[in-house]
Amino acid sequence: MKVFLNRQEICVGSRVTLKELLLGQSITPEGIAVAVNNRIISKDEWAETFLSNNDKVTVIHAACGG
Amino acid sequence: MSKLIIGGREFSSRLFVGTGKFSSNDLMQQAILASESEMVTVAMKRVDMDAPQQDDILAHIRKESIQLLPNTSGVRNAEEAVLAAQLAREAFGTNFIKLEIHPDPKYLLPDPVETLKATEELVKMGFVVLPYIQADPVLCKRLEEAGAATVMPLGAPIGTNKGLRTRDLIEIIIAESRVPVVVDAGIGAPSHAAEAMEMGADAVLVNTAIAVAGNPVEMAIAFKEAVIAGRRAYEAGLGAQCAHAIASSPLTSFLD
Repeated sequence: MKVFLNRQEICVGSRVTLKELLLGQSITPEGIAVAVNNRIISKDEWAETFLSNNDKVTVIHAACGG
Repeated sequence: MSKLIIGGREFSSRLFVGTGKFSSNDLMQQAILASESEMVTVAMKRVDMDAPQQDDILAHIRKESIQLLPNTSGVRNAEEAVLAAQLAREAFGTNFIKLEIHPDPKYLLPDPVETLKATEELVKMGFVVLPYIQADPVLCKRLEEAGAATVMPLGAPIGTNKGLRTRDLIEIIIAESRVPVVVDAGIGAPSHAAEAMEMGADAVLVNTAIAVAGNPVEMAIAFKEAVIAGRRAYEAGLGAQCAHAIASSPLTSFLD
């Protein structure tokens, strides 16, 4: 199946968790936040959050700004 | 000088600074330290999937004395602002949020209707909301009633360095507000910051004027001193203005 990680299409296995997806992309938990289909998933929920086909995963971190 | 309290936290410095537009993160860090600011804004962006480990700006900002103030820049309405605030809380571990909803990129003027809506929602969710708004005294009262922690009226549009173009309205806001008034945006020179503080503003937020200065570290110090001077003058009580001259030396003639 495919998911979208920050708008980038990624092919993944059928039973993949959010944690597996992020670690596979070298994304570490410090200073970031994640939403799946615009719902915030806290870090302690990553391991039990299974992704579905076409899920939109958003990962943000800090940027400079006023 | 009296301390400023926002969201239950005490601040010795009344200068809030932004992190945008610096030529390097190191320079930004030096300028923040020099400013002695205890409230520093950060924005958010999507992690670049081609370079997920890129330089973490938080490492340049995090310090015991500094309260991070994430902003919602980039959102277009209340619904997006609420999501952005939740992302900020998760990423940075703070309930403080600078609420800014400015859908029009030309003037970056805040949308008052969406800002009020988002404030109502975010306060219910336990956020300490600092809304960036037009200098509108009526809107400020509505935000105060909704539970905003401060109001942040603009002096002039973001990044313009034009100073307190909204001075008369900010005077009314300061006179009427029961929450701290933070003048945000448009402050382009230390004299503008001092002017706002002399009027009784509780704090000012400065970004562009420091970041784009010839020497940002020196400018950060200049703003720090201006804010202290302005606040001290306000607390000391400025003398009244008068239309005609009032002699400060004796006028009795001593030469015959």
